[in-house]
Amino acid sequence: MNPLRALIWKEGRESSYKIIVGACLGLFVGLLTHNAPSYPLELICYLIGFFSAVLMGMDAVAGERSRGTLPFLFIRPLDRGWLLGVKFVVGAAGLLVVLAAYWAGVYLGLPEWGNPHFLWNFSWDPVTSFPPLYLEAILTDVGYVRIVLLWFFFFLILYTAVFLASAFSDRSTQAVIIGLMTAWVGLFCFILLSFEPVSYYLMLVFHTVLERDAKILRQAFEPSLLLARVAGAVLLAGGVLLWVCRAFRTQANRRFQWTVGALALIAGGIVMWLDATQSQGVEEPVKPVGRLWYQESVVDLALKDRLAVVLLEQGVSVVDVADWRAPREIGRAKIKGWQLWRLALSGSTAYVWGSSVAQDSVGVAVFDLSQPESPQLRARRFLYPIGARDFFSLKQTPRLVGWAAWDGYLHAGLLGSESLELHSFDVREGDLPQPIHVLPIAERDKHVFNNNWEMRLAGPHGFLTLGHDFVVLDLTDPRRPEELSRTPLRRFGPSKRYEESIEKIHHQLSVSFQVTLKKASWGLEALEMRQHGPDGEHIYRIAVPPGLGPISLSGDKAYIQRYWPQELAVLDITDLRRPVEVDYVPSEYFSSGLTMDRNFAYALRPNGIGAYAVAEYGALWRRKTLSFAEEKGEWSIYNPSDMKPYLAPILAGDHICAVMRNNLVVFEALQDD
Amino acid sequence: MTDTAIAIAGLTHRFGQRTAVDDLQIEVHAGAVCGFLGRNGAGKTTTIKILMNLLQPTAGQVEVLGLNPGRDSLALWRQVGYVAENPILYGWMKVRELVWFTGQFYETWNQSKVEGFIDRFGLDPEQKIKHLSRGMNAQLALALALGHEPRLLILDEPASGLDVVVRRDFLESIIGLIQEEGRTVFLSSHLVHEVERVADRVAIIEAGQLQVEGTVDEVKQSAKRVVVHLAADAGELTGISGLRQMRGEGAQRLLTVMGYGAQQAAQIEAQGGRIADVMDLSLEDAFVAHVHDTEGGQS
Repeated sequence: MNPLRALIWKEGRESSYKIIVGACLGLFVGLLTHNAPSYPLELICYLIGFFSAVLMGMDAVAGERSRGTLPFLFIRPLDRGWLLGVKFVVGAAGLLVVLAAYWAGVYLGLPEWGNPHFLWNFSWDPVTSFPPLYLEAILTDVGYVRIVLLWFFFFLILYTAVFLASAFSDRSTQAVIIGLMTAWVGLFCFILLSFEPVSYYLMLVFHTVLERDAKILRQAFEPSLLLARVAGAVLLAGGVLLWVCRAFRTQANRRFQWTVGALALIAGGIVMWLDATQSQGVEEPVKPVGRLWYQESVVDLALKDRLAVVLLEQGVSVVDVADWRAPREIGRAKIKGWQLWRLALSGSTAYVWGSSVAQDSVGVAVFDLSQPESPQLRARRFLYPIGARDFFSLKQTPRLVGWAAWDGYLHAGLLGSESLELHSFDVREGDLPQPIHVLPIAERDKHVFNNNWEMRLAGPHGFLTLGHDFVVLDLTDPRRPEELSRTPLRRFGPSKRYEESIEKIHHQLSVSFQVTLKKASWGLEALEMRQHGPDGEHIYRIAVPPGLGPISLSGDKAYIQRYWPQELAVLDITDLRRPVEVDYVPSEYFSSGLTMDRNFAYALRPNGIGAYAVAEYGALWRRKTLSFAEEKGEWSIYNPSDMKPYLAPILAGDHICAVMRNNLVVFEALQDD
Repeated sequence: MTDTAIAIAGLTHRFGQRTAVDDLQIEVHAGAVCGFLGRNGAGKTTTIKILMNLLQPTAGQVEVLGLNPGRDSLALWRQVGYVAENPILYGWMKVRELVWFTGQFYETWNQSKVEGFIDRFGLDPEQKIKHLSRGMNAQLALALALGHEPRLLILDEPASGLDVVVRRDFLESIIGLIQEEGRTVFLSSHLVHEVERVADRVAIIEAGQLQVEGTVDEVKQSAKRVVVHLAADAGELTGISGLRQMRGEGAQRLLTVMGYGAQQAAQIEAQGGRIADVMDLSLEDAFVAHVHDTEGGQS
């Protein structure tokens, strides 16, 4: 006598054809998906899990009921809870097998295991450095077992909904409809709640399954984190199961079922609630403590002692911030006909990068701030004529990618027509910066459309992001700056597979454009454009995905935004000749630079400053918003993507300040809670 | 051990507004073969499903082998064999597999006995169940219901799918065998003479209500057919208590009367009728008399 064995045998036999067909299909689709040239096949991956969950769940009980075999089972001397339990487990196991087969297919498609390129006539270009495909990257980084289990847990939710619907339905189709409706309602709530992250668990699911980040996926399997959640989930599931069994008139003691079921539900709810509330929370927005409004847009900000120097579009404003709650403008200097961009302070001199519309040139303006109440424009120099405004043209004006003064010298990273260069100026003597040295850093060609450059200067060192490389410069001797190190920070790839699939030719007057897109399963991998015109042929390439972005320095760490996978690379820069990537933090896209604090990372957002903390599951997660609501002035976010360095909030003791639209805004820095 | 195998008291079951079983009272003694008769839709299957805890009663008390089906159904299912009306088995299984599968649920499973029945019914153990005829299906269900040596066998219209030969063998031999072993059989059917051949006691149910219960003879005796000659000046017979049916023309009437006795005889004679003969009914006639809904009707 072994009723459970008999039940498992029966359920397994009944589900075997579904499991076998699903596993074969999953394996096949897995093999194809790996090299899929476009998104629809990736969608099929989700459909495999979706249909497996629905098919396994829909027939479990309702099928037997509609076929009339359920009474045969129900009069056997075995608690109906066991009947339901075995049915549930066998169906779930079938789902697991199908998903495991799918990911096995993907695994088999990896280069190490052989690669069915021929299926799609993929070209092979080992020279081109393109990023890898998502599946490959995730699989190799996260591991087969974890990824299968994560998908399994995700689709288990749908399976459970359909199974429960099946348990109360007369027909399988009814079960599918009810189950899908339940799942859709759940998904709808999930999406709604995801926008307003009040539910930590939903955020967790969203990040672990949909975000597809390797670190998050690994974090989701941290035993310490899993423990409470598994306990809570088991208690909740136990309570629900006991309740379902109650509805099925199972024969265990009913009072016991009610009591234990209710207690399990309450306990599970409490465990999850405690975990959720103690894990993360989004609180009320924090209001600014001080604000100063200007008639014109505010462009840049620098702090010096108790003074804030605010760069306006056409001038410099000196603000007394001795009392952060009441910033007060004490002096202002104007420069007519200029559009000012960036500010660098050296002693009591402010160097401003800008352009003169009248002169059609880019240049430097120098302001004397020795008398803060009456700042004076001391000198200006035009450096370069403004070149072609055609975005694709090589004859562009050199653009500022970094700008800082240190020890009597001014260093500017300029992206010229041919290359990225570090221009050093001597500002110890005289009013105007005297060019003393130009250090070529990188050829421009490879990065022609890549806007994600930044140079940050800290003391006698310069830090740059160039494509996928992180570069450290030694500026100790301004006349002979040297490159200390160049560290590639590309986490995946390069991929060797892509499809050159789309070509378009545009004609504009005498110029013709031929665009070649190279695509892989996750989307665009590269873009190459050939321009045929009177002056010959030009070839431009865009590195897709983009490389590195803003740099944030904090102590002996550098946090560098990586655009794919989207995260912050954490580098130990104790030894500047050998920076080491020690960690990475999955994050959202920051269109500005970050300011790192001990407790939080701050980034400018359209509505204020976002305060981010590393969430429990490893991602940089916005915890609070330092909210800024515009009351006066026009709506203008002055944060053009090609203006470098990236604007970032400035931390000053217990306060953090930033320029936003027409305002200097001051918040109290957040304390760890 | 209890002397009463099935005790139903005040059992009521409603499907929404419709009352399927209405205040039913039945008692079946241990070791008896009880025929449970009623027309289609009379409430037989509903009653049996309640006995098997496949339905919850709306009201009333039910005890099967001293157990409350709703509370002790695991113990109940261990001791009761049940064959549903038109039993649906797993078509994809072979006969041998279904026997093994069913046997896994019982400690008292008697494999040789089931194999004996299968052999007796001429079933091929390697045959798939979906290829069995309706009758073979019923036979297999019966064999499975007997496999765990149940103290009580509940059969819901077991003969409906069987041909005449098998039905006779089934009802007489098998049930006889079961009864010899001291088991109780509760047999629902609308085929009255099949039941009459094997049952000790009979309960007749109509519209969810018990009409009569007793031994076969008692049920037969519960109604009489009375031949009445009417005097020339006599009017139509009316007001005879227990009258279920009246037929005839001219001076002769044939009355079916429930619980016929001196009172009814006096009523007939008072109206100018002369009782020519009083005949016993067969069980089938008695069944028809009990479930006939036209009191005093003439045809």
